[in-house]
Amino acid sequence: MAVVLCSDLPQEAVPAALAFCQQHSAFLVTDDEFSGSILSLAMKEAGTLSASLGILRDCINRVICCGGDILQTLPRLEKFVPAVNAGHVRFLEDDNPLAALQNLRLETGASAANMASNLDDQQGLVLFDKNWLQEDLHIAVELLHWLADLNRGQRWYSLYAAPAANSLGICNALLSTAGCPGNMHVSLAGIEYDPRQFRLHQLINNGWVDTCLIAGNPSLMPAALKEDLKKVTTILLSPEPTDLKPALTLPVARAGVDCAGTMQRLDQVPLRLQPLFTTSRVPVEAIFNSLTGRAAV
Amino acid sequence: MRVVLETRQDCTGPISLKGINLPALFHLSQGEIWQLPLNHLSQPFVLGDVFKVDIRDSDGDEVVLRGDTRLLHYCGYGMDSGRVMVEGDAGACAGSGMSGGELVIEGNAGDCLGVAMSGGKISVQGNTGDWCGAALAGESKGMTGGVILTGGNAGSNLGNGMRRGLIAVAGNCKNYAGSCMLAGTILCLGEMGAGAGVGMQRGSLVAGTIQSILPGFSPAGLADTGWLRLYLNWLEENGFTMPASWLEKPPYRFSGDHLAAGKGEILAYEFPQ
Amino acid sequence: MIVIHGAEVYNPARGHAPQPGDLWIEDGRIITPRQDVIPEQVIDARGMIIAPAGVEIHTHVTGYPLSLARRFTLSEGCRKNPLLPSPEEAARLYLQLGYTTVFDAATSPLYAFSSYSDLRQMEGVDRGTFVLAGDHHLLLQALASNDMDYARNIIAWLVSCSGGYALKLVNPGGGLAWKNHRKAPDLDEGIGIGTLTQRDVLKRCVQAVNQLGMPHPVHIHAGQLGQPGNAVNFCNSIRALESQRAHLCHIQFFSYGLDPSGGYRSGAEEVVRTLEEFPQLTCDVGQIMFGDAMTVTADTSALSRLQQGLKKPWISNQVEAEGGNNILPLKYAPKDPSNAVQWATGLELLLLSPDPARMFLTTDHPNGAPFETYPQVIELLMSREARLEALQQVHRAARDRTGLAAIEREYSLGEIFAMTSFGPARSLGLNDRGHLEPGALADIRCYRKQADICGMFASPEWVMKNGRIVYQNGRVDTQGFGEILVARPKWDQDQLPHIKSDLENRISISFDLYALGGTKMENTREVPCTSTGF
Repeated sequence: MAVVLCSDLPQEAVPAALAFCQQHSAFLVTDDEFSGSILSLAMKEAGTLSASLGILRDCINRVICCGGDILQTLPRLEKFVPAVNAGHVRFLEDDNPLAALQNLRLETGASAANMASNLDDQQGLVLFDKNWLQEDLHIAVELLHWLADLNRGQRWYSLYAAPAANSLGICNALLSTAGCPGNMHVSLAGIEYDPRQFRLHQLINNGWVDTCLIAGNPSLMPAALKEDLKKVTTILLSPEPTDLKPALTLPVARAGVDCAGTMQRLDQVPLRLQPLFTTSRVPVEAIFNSLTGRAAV
Repeated sequence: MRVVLETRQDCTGPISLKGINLPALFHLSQGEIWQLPLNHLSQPFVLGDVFKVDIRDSDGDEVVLRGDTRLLHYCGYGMDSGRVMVEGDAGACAGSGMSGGELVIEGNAGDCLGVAMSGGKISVQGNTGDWCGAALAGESKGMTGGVILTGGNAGSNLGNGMRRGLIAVAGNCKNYAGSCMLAGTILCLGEMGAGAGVGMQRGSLVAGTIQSILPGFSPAGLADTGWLRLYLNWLEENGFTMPASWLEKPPYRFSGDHLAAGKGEILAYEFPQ
Repeated sequence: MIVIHGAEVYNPARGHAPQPGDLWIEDGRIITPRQDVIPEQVIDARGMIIAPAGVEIHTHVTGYPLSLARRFTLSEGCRKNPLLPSPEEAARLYLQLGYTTVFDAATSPLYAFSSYSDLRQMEGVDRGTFVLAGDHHLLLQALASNDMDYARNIIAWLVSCSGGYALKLVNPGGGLAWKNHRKAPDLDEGIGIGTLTQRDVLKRCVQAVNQLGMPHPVHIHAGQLGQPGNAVNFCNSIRALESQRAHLCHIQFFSYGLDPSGGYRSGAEEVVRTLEEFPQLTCDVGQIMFGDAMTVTADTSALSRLQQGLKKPWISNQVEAEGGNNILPLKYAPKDPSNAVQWATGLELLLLSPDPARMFLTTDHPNGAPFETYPQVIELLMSREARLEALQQVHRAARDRTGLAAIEREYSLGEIFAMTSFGPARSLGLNDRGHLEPGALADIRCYRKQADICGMFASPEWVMKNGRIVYQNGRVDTQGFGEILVARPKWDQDQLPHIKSDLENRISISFDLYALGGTKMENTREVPCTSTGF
């Protein structure tokens, strides 16, 4: 069995899902593998410098957006990064991002000596979205290397514009409780991590799973993956209907609407959401807990 | 001795042979082989549940995997000697962590073939998947020795992080061949995809044609092919057919990746467009 | 009622010598032995050593920085990394070492909820966290205007609303300086807010916290961490506290002299001599052990320096209104002269310091080494032979540039218990633990007496929490044990609008959501703020 944690869930769902997976010796994956393993592995390789939004608001005077429509996906960004409004924005778009980044790094290297003497109040921000992680780890690593190069002489922060409400919260909660950001097999014997084999697409096509329990709304799942899901039995715990056709759907509460929950902002600051209404719907973690409890009896 | 493991008809799920050292089967009786637990990923099986076991005397020691081998993952995992033969396609992670012996796959191989291998020889008659001869995810050092020969095409990230050894592909390979390579040699007789050699520090990538070359590489004239000729001769002895042009002229040489240590080289017989 | 019978009992409240006798326990607490009743359970502990359970005063096992750090350990395969266990695992591992109280050293108020989520999972041990404020704008502003009343209110509010136990200062002003492209200020250099210097921040914060009566005094991480020759600055920082009560953490990283070659030499003697002048100070050592380590710190200035030297990737995250979270993986190598001196300096500090109840054993997990190496450090302290043998294995700088080889002292068992239980508990203001007097919590560890010191400390016979055995024969039972210890110093509610208006333009989050955002913490125990120092 595979449990898919979707990026609209609050982080409270994570420990409950882990306990459930442990009991059933299941795979645990997220619907947003780029924010999880690829970004994390790239950070391991090249490191990163980031900052919370308050700092960006106060210091940033230049912005580079990797991805053309990134500002549309972050409509409130201008509030936090006034430099965006002031027009100090450059877009980095290229059909061949890897080559583009290598060119930038070569330029940076050539002007490094020049920049080192030019340390002033200029502070920049590089925003990138999942398109720069999507294809392969190498692009993300090159991007972060470029940032590290820039930081030899200047101060450039980076922020990853996650594609869904709580991609980063789920990833951080998984790192904190399980030690890895998804792509794992959880059993009583321990946790095994394999970002290449334990991806949902691979798990289904290699035959490792026959059932998928999808928690949350898998809005980020690419169409091909939704096609793969037709090969297995799916159970959906989602607050709203989706275009999947699961064998069973259990409506659950949505954090911030009918239950409380913690989500993480763009800069990974945890935000506690309070319910707006009282409804009979239960949060996902309660369902996981009762499933775990029932099996234990 | 020849040990034949044939998958049972009624077994339709995937089987992981992780934790089973196939060459060690020669020292076991049929009953003992039957009782070997397949406990990777909490599979509640013993080997006898999924395989018919047949032991015969023969000249050489050999383990043969037969039947619906497409479902077998981790064939030859961690093997250190002997010969393992897969009659058909192999699943993922075949020959990963192997340190000696020979693994022959008559069909195609899945992803992660020979990951983190340190010795021995893998021959695949068909195609191989992604991450062939690569490093374990999150590690920097890939294959540290041995030989992988592929009769068909290879996937992406061929020889990622490779430290030593030889990978030869008779067909084409996809993107990022030799990425983050530390040393060693990768030969691709056909076309090499984009992003070849990204982050490579040392080592040689040899390709018939190359789709594109990254900015981190710079042209460095024509290559001296003395060492290459030795490799090509050896490959011919091992059943590869060399394109005629390879024997006639020296390849173009590009050095890089200058954004890493930059002492690697890409040799291409046709100048990239 | 339980009686532990026949053991050698080490009660650090009554000196370092063991006393034979029975230990009586009722309702999770130790009671005076009774003649008139027959106990329900007698635990046979003949041939055993009984001591109060360990108290960890400085470790990093929870919060957002650890999530960042775990990325550096990602690798295909099974997950078991002693450097970065999950909070749940950390609690179990501490119990297996005989520790039942664990304090995480750093929480930024902005990320307080991440820490709280992790603390909640650490079932089995009593735990808590310290709140970072060394670069907190609001606090520094108040200190700069010398408005001590307002500063006290801010400290009390910050600790309460972040669910913390104490205040932590990390190289005050250092994070601010880094953000403004300046080098970290020296002790008497302005930090960029009025005429405020680091000396002022240290002195005034310590004063404010002591006036609030908080159970643990200010937890200080001083300036110039890890720089050769920093012992002089550190001793000056100690003097800057002007004989007030405070705790200095991982002082090994501050006790270096300057070798003529420009490298490290030990400054332990000087530091210990200075500390002796101020008996109200406590310290923990932050011993390094050879092998892998992970730097997890809020001290951006120090870490960026180290990162520039090592040229390795780091993860650095700057926090608004506060310092930052910084991660850099490291490896301490025995053949590296600097690492060898650092290793020897830590041991020298422990061995030169006369009172084990004031100088505690920590490894600043995971900065110096994983906490699982405590038994190895204890062995080095208790056996000169082991020490000399270890000294042969490391770079000769450890012999030439430190005084370790000449030190003959060997810790006694009693001193070890004073150093790992009694002292830290007293420094934390937890009078109900760290000793075995009647009324104390029955948090007890039991070892089988043996010659192998390291082996003995690595595997207790059993460990008891609140009068129940939670670890025995490799099995840990954590369910339902342990509380989150918090301090809620009194502050003037009328000041809230004032704090709100001052902070609101500094942070990018609504004031109501700042820190724990009014989340009601579960399973907490408030330790009263009635400390008068000692």
